[in-house]
Amino acid sequence: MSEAKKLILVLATICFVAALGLAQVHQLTEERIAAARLEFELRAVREVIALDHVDIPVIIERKELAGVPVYRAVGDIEPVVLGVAVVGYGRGFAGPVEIIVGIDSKGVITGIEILSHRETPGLGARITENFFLNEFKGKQLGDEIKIKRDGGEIDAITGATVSARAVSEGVEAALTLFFSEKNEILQGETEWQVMEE
Amino acid sequence: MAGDGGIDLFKNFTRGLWSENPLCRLLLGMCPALAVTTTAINGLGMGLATLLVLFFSNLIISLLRHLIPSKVRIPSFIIVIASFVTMIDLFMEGFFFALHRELGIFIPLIVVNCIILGRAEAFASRNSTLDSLIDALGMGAGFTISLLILGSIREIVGMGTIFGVTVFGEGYLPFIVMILPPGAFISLGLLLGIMNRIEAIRR
Repeated sequence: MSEAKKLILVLATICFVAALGLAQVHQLTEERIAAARLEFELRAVREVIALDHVDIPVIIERKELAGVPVYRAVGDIEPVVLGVAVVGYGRGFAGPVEIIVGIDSKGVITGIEILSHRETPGLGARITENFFLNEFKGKQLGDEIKIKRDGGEIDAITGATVSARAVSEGVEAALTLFFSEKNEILQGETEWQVMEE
Repeated sequence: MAGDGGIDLFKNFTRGLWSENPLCRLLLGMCPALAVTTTAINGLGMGLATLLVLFFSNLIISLLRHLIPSKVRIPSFIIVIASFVTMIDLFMEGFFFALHRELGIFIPLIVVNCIILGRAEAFASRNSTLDSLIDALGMGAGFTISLLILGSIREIVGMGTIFGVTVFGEGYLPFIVMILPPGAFISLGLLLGIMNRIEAIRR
């Protein structure tokens, strides 16, 4: 066998075995990863919709509207929308900030959580702390959901104006989407995918 | 460096901890070391993930060392390393979801961490499997400990906490520069300086 053929054979064999191994691991972990992602999403949704005072069984449904994931909690027995969660995006200091905004049927914010961000730890990353997140509770469209420097009512975080601005931006985008798709979110019946009962 | 089975196992292990510590003596793997060590837990997670990859890549490469022709050794090593990194990435996302989110992009980047390829080329491709595994454990542990120390210093000074637990109390005003990129260079420089000083005294 010529040298070139040997080189090709060795490399091809290594690649083949590596591919088999990867396929195996992928199959092994696929379900766990999907479950972990779903659990993470659902925990955030439950957190922002504030379902603790609701003691009837609810179903959480999901649908993408204008490319943005929207969740709603619907009563199991009586199909009324009890709360909505809309994802919003803002431009952070080091990359996009993904926020989930809980909104009640009247359009008032019930809570927000940060889903993902790349902000500086200890500085911009403080947007994930409750003292900041709680500032958005009770706000609605028409309120100035902006940081004070931009003429709004939100206290920014010292040294992390850009990160705080990104969150306000994302929250406002989520609220705007809620209002433009309000009918579909509160009354729409098709293509809502049940996530958890 | 002796050939197959010719090395004292204990010395082989401790080499990675001090005299050939990958981060503080060989100055390898700087990118993840500087980028992820903003907190102690991040440093520890990154270090352990690197240790695992190093262990498996050294294992496979030392087993295949007589079969891989030297002309294609680098691509072969990279395939082996990249496969293990991808597997560990998948496992971490499935089983340690929160840590995986935190370390993000740096897990896939273990592929291009010079330590892994460096040990494959300089050690595993020339030594027995047992020696290579000990080498991986020593180097991996040395790297992990260095990252943990770096992360701890930066977290304590920069945030006033360690593993998320407050150490200085509410009144402490964090020295924020320590968790920003300059803090990484400052802490690493101090760490290297201290190690050099200790070495100089020992001699």
